[in-house]
Amino acid sequence: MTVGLAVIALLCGGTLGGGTGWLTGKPDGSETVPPFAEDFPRGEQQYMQGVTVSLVADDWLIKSNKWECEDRSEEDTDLGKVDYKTCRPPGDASSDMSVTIHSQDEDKVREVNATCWEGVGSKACKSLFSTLADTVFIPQDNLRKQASDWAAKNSGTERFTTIGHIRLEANLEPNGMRAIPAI
Amino acid sequence: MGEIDVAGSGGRLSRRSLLLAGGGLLLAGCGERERPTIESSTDDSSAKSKLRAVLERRTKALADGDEKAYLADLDPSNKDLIARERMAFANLRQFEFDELKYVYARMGERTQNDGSTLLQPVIRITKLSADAGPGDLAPGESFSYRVADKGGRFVVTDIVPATRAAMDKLGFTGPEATAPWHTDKLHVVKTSGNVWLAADDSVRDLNKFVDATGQEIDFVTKLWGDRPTFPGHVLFFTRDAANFKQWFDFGTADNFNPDVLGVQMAQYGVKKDGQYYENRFAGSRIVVNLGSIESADSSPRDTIRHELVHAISSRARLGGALQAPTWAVEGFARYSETIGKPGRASAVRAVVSNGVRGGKFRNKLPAEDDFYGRDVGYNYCLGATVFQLAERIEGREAATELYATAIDTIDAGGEFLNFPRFDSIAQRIFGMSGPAFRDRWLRFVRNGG
Amino acid sequence: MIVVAVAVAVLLVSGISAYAVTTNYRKGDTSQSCDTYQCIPRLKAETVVKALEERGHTCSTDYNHQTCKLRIGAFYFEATLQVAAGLITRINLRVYREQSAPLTPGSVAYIKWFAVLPYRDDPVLTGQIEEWVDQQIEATEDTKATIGDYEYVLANPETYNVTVEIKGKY
Repeated sequence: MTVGLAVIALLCGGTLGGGTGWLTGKPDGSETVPPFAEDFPRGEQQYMQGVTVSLVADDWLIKSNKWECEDRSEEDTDLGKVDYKTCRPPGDASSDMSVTIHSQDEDKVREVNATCWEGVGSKACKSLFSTLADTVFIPQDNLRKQASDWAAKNSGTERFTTIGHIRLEANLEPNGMRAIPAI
Repeated sequence: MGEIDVAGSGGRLSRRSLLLAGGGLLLAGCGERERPTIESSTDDSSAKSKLRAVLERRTKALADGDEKAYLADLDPSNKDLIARERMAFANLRQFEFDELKYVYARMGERTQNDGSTLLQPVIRITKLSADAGPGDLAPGESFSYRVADKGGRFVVTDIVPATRAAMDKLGFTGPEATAPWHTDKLHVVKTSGNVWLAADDSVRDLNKFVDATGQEIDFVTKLWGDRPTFPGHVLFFTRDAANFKQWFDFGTADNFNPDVLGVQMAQYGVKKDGQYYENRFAGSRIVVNLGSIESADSSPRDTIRHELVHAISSRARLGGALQAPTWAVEGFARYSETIGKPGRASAVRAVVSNGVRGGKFRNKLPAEDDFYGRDVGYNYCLGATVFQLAERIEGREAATELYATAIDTIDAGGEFLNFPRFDSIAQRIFGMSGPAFRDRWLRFVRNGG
Repeated sequence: MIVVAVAVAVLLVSGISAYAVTTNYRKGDTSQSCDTYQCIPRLKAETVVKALEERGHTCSTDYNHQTCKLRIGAFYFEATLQVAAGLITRINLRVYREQSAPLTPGSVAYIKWFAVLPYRDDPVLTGQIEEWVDQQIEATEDTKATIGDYEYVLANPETYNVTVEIKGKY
C-alpha cells in the first residue's frame, strides 16, 4: 500500500514538476552580441583613410596639371548627399580623360574614378592610372610605389587588387581605374 | 507501457517527463544536451545551378576528350541535338584552347509553356591558342539552352548557338556563336607557328593550301614586323556557297556578296559582364571562299595574303562603332597583293586610272558609306595607291607604318590626308609636310597610280 | 498517517527534482518561442541593431523588420532582422558586389558574425559554423543546412548578390 502510494506520488510529482518546468523553463543564452571580428565592416571604412578631396583635386590635378573641375551633388537614398567633383584636362584634351571624386566631406572620400579615352594600352591612360594610384596612396606612403606600378601594369585589363586599405579596380569601359576602400 | 499525458503537450513530452521524474535526482545536473550538428546539402534544385553542373561536366569532358560524358546530359530523344553536339565535339577537339569557361553573369531563366526552361544567354569563353585579347579578354560565344526534367532526370533538350536570327527569335542578346564548328563537320590541320587550317567536306584537298598559306604567313609576318598581333592564325576553307554565307553569319552582313573571295572576321573579346569589349579585337578568323576564287579563275594565294594582312594587323585596328577606316584596311591589303607581283600591280593601276577617267576620283579617299557599293573594286585600289606612293617615297616599312597609324584613327569621310594631325604623321614617316604628301598623292592618282 | 507523509514527501521531492531537471534541460534549448515563431534565445533584436550602429552601420525599422546597411566601395552589406516579441526569428543577409569576384575577408567576417548568432555561447559549434561558411563560399555553391533548430540557406556565392537566410524551424 505504502509502496503503491509512493509510486503514484512519484509519478504525479514528477509529471507536475516536470511539466511545469518544461512549460516555464527558458533557454539560457547571453543577452549580448558576440564580439566583432577585426575584419567585420566598420562605418569608417566607407572612406579612404587620409585621402581628401583637395589632395586629389587641388594638389594633383589642378595645381600640378592645370585641370579644371566641376562640382555636383546627388541625394542618395542610403547615404544622403554625395558630392561629385569631375576634373578634366584643359583645352582639346578635355575629352580624352577625366577623374571623378565621390565624397561626403573634404576628408570623406568614397571613390576616385579615372576614365581614359586615349586607347587601351596607351601611355596616356597608363600614366593617368598610375598617378591616380600614387596620389591616393600618399597616406600609405610605403605602398605608393607598389600601387602605382600595379596600376601601370594592369591598365587596360579588368583586373583588381587590394593594397593596404585600398582596392584598385581596372576596367574596360572603355578604359578606367578606380580607387575605393578595401573591405 | 501506459502514458500519462500532460494536457495538450503530446506524448513525447509526457514520456520524457516521466522518464525524468523516474530518474529523479540521479539525472539532475545531467541536463547537458547533445550539440547540434551541421547537416549541409548543396541546393541544386534550381535549373540554373543544375545547368551549371552540366556545363562544368561538359567542359571537363571536352578537355578530356570524353565524348560520352560530353553527350551524357543531353536529351537522348533529340537525335538532332545529339548529332550536332557530337559533331561540335569532334570539331572543337581538333583545335587547341587556352581557355574554355562559362560566364554566368547574364544568364536569365524563362519557363516555357511545355514545362521546359530556357536559360540564355549561356556565354562560353572560347579562347583558341591563336587568340589574345586586350586585357585578359578572349572571344566568346553564347547559346540558348533548353532544359527539362524527363523521367526524373534533368536533361538539356536543346542548345541553340547565337546567330542573329536565333537571338531575334528567342529574345536574347550575346556574343555570336557563328563559327563553322557549330554547323559543319571540319577537318583541321595544324601547321607550324600556331596556324590552323580547317575545311568542310567540300574541300578534300586542304593539304594543297597548307604550304601556300605558310608562305603567305611568312610574307605578311615580315611585312607587319614586330607590331602588335595575335599569337596565331585560323583559316576556314570552303567551296560551298551556303556555308560561306552561313559561317560567321556573313550572309547577314551589309557587305555580303556571294562572289566575295574571302573574308576576315576580327573577333571581339568578352568582358566579365558577358558584354563585348568593342574598341579592340581579341582574335581573328579567316574564311577562304574557294568556290568563288575558282569560278573567277583567281588565285587562292592572293586571297589568302589579302585576308592574312587583315588578320595579322587586326590587333592594332580600332573596332566598335568607331571603326578603322575601310580605305586603309582594304587598301593596304590590296597593296600587299601587288608586292612582288608586277602583273597584279598593273591590274590595280588599271582599275585606278579607269576610275579616274570615269570621273570617280574626287580628290579624296573613299568614305565609309557605300565603300562596298557599286565602286567597291575601285575603292579597294584607290586605297592601295596611298601605300604604293608611301612605298615609293620611303620604302615598304613606311607604307606599313602609315597603315598601322591609319587603322588606329577614325576617318569616316575619307579625309585622313586632310586632317591637321596628318601633318605630324607625314613628318614622322616621310619627313615631309601633310599637304606635300597629299599633293604627291593627288598627282600619283591622276597619273594612273 | 506515515503513509500520507511519505506520499507527500515523495510527491514534493519528485516534483521539485523533476522541475529542476526539466528547467535545466530547457536551458539548453537553442531556440525559444516568440509569438508564434521560434527565436534566437534571449538576444534582443535591439541589442544587435545597437551593436551594428556602433560599428557604423545605418539601421532603420519597418514594421517587424529592422534593417542595417553599409556601403563600402564596391560592396554593399545589408542585414534584415525579422523581430517577434523583441527577439530575432529570421536573419536575411545580402552582400552585394559590383563585380563578380571572390568575397573579401570583410564580407566573410560579416556573414560569419550573423551565422553564429544562434549559437554564440557555444565556442565549438561557432567554430564549426564558421568553417561551414568558409567551405560554402569556397565551393561557390548554393547550400542549405540545418543546424539544430535553424535552417541556413546560402545562395549565389559566385554572383553579384550573395544572400544568406537564417531562420528558426517551425
